[in-house]
Amino acid sequence: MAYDAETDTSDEVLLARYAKGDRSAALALTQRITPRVLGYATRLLAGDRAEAEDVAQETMLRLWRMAPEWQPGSAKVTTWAYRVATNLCIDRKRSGRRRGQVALDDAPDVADAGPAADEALQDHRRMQALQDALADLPDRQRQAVVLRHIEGLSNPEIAAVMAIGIEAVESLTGRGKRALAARLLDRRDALGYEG
Amino acid sequence: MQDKDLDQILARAAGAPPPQAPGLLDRVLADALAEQARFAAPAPSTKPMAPAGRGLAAALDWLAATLGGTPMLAGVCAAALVGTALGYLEPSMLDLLTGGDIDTVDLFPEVEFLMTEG
Repeated sequence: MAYDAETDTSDEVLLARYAKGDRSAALALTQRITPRVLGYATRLLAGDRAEAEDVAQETMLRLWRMAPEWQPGSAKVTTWAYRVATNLCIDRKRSGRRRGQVALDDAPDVADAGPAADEALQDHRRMQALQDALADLPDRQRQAVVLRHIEGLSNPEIAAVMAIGIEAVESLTGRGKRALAARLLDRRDALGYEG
Repeated sequence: MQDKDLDQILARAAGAPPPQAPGLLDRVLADALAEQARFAAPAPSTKPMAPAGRGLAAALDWLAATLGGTPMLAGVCAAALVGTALGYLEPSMLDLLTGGDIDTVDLFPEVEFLMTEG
């Protein structure tokens, strides 16, 4: 699929163009937002890729359906999408379906041999350890940490996504990060860290 | 593990390429175009427009459009005329059309059984 050719156009402008029938805007928004929502949902759902894909598709479907009623300046499209995805992930975790499943095809590839392979393997171990540690966090802490430190949202944006105050966001990210460090501490040797 | 190590892992995760999901992107784009087609095209009206002008001709045009065309209107009018004629004709005159006498069939020769119990 072609690279997003609308890099200079904001999501909000693209959404307005989509609502007016612009097919290229649909393509650009699909390529721009879907992978972000998928990555976020995958982390919230403890690596369950199939469930995360369902969440991403449903989030985008809701975006398409509300596009004609979108109020310019009301919110960022990505903030709205993260919020919808968060709620869908919460619903799915509550329903308890298919938790913790990772299809073999979804597992990251690891190189075969050599120094580069060792480095890639170590990197893979660290990412897996991070995923496991995130999965152990309480839901709200996990959402806040992922949004802040992996998705790169600002605290006001996270507050909008989670429908809480900025102070609560700071508290959740702080506690979440400390809990994350405590969980990774036990595996520091295996992950190649000292001290 | 130190804070900088955790920051390094998080930064590595943040910088990782987004997950590849070509099948998902195709499905999402298909949804987008389907929704776009749905709200871009106004729903077709099932109710014909009211007559544009006044007078019998305009009313007939509107009625013909409502019924599906002039032939349909002619058929409906013919059926209405025949039905009205049949309703007004004496039964004996129908013999001319059917070529026979009218047979009377008494479906309830006696009605007392309706009054009985058991």
